[in-house]
Amino acid sequence: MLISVRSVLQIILGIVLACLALEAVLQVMDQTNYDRFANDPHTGLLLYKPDIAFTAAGECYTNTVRTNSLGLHGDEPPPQRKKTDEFRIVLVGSSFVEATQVSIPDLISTKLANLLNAQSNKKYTYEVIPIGFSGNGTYLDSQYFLAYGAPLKPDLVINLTTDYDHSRAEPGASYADEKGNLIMQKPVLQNESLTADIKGLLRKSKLAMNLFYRFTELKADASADISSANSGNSDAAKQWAADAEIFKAYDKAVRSVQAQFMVTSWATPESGTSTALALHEELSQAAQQDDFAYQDLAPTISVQEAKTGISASFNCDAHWSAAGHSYAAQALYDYLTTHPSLLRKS
Amino acid sequence: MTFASFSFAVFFPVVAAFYYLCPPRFRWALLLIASCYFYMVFMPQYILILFALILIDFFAAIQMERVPENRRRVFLIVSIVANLSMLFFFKYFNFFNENISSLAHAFGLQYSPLTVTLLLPLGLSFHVFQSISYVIEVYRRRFKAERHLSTYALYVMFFPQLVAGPIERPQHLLPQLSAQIKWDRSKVISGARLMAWGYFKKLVIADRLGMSVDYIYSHIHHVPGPSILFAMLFFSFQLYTDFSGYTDIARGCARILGIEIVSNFAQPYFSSSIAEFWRRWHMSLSSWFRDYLFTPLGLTWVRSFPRLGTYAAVFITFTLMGLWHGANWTFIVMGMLFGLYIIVGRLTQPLKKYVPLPRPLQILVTFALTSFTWTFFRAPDMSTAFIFIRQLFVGWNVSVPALFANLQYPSDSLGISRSDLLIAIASILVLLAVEYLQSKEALSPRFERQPLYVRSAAYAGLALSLFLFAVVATKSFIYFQF
Repeated sequence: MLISVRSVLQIILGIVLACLALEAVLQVMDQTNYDRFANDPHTGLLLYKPDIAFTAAGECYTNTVRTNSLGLHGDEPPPQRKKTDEFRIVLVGSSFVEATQVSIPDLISTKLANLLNAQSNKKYTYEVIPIGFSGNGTYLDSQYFLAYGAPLKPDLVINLTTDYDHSRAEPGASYADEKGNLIMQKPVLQNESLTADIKGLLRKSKLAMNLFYRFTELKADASADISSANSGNSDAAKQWAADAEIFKAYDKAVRSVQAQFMVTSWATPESGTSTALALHEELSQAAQQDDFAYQDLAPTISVQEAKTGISASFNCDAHWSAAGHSYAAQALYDYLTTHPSLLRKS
Repeated sequence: MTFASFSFAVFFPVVAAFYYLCPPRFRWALLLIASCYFYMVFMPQYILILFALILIDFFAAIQMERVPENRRRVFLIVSIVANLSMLFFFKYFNFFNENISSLAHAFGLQYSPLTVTLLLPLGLSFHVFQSISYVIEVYRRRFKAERHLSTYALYVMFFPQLVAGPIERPQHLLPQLSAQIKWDRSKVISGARLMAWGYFKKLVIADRLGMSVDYIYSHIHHVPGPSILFAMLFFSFQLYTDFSGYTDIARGCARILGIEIVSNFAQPYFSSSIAEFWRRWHMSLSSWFRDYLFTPLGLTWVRSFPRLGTYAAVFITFTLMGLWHGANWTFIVMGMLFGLYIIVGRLTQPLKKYVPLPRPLQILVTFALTSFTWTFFRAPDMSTAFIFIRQLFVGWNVSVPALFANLQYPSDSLGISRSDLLIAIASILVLLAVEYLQSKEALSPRFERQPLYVRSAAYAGLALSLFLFAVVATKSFIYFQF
């Protein structure tokens, strides 16, 4: 039996009506502002819209996030030209560097700058610039460094790696070319501006955004199920190998701008002991192999938590609270001051 | 393999496709194989128990029709004893032994209970009751014994209702299993619609509320009265949407295959008395107890003690109905409480003439009593149930603004996020609206009369809501434990 054109039109009308009804419901129920994102037209990288403020609310926090002219959470980045007495640190990472849960004065980057500048015998004025965006893995961290960190001519690049960043590395994917240089993400061309426009339009629809995030979530769950079913050790080894390849190329890219490279790690409490140990072990190995500095934040943060009795993370969210950012900044400061070569210009 | 699993999402469409591709005279074989597979995914060796019971009941029923009148009862007893022994051994043996041991201990006697560590066969309480229903109906000559073993086996094992009912009667299901069923597009659509609604109830409402209820029960010593009250209300809706969701999926599956399964629920939370509630809740079980226990007991006892006999029959029926749910004192107390409510309801019947309560108030009181009694259904043991009830009266000295602040950030007080709470409340309102409309008029024919765009809007809305709001880490259906 053939379906008539009239029936097809009625079905389409029905679907549209259902979408409109759900859109209306979600406009009331979902307080998230999805229209805050924008793709960088030159690199294709996802950012917030520059110089906007939005509310990030969790079950136990509410914060007004202010983005800078780059479209990242943090103070306005300094001009690309740097004075000789300025020492510039770029702190790259994902949600722990971006930290929409806390205000700019409470960010790890702000606190680290304050600690460094409070030294009585300091040689330089220290600037710590956060380049962080939620959801990034190590490869995207390196892309954000190349796009927004490298032009700032840093003296030191610190990459804050969590178990989540590591988990985004895809075994078997190519991240570096034959010469060991990072493969750049395909830029969005001008003639693809239509895609950007469509994306911009979709971000105004809460239904579209919820469907997109739900799909991403289910896809991630399914691939996690498949990878755990295919079981583990060889896949995990391949994932570490992929991450090691990224770090090697990332290190090379950092050195090419006359900066030093350091990796610091934090395993989120929900990741489990074995993941935390593996993260520490694999990153130590990669650091040794490629000759970059590595620090695990966990021991110092644990000591600080025990001392103050205040947890580094929110109780409703795995991210750091203001206290967590303080502990992490203190841990980094301790490491940098006990490894003074990292605070020397190359 | 549960209805909410990925494996079932593959299994059922494959079975349904082959079912209609297969010549009608062989479809029973396909259904039987599918049912065996469905059962064996859980624990393959237990199918032997099921086969043994099927053989006993099948031949006992045939013998009942062959032997002289005075020997018919022997075969009925053999069949019932076989079924109940199996139920007792797997479900009640340890409970019985532990209680004997406690009793012996109380009298200063030594008794070391023998403990059997065995998993409860899937759906045992349901298929045992369905089999007993068959032999009793044959014994009462209300149904002719089935002559085809495979058809009878399918009656017991039919996979949509094997695990958690509804408990069918032979008059309703058996003729359908031997009939040659034709493809009926409207039945397939209606079945799929029923399944989708069942999944909505289970995955969007029941599992979401379950997260909160589980959280509150695991923090029972620390949560204040308002949270306990929420848990009580949430569990009422969780239990209802979980079980009625399962039933809708089961009925939807069967309808797609052209077979009608009895309904188990008729908007029970709109009941104005506990007696009415039990006529509208788990109807296949309550009617089973009515027909095979309460009525025979009542008929016997009412002759000797007209009033007391009825009350005793009510109390015993409900106590046993509680025990049917599980080998735990909590279920027995739950059954006793429901029995008591009904007795009190009957005793106070004359007062209603003098103090007439408006129906909405009666519905509210019935719902409150039911929700309170479900505490004994949900609590893992009696002490937890008592702690839960004690905590209900603690921590009410909260200001209204503080109460609203807690609801703004409900993860500490209720164990779910604000968005989950909003989705749960909105879904319950949708459920109640649908149930209310259903209580006025059967919705399905009314829905079918709507223009195509209205129907497709409803289907798309349901599908999108399921995709967006279903809880991914789904729980097993509550009634699967029975």
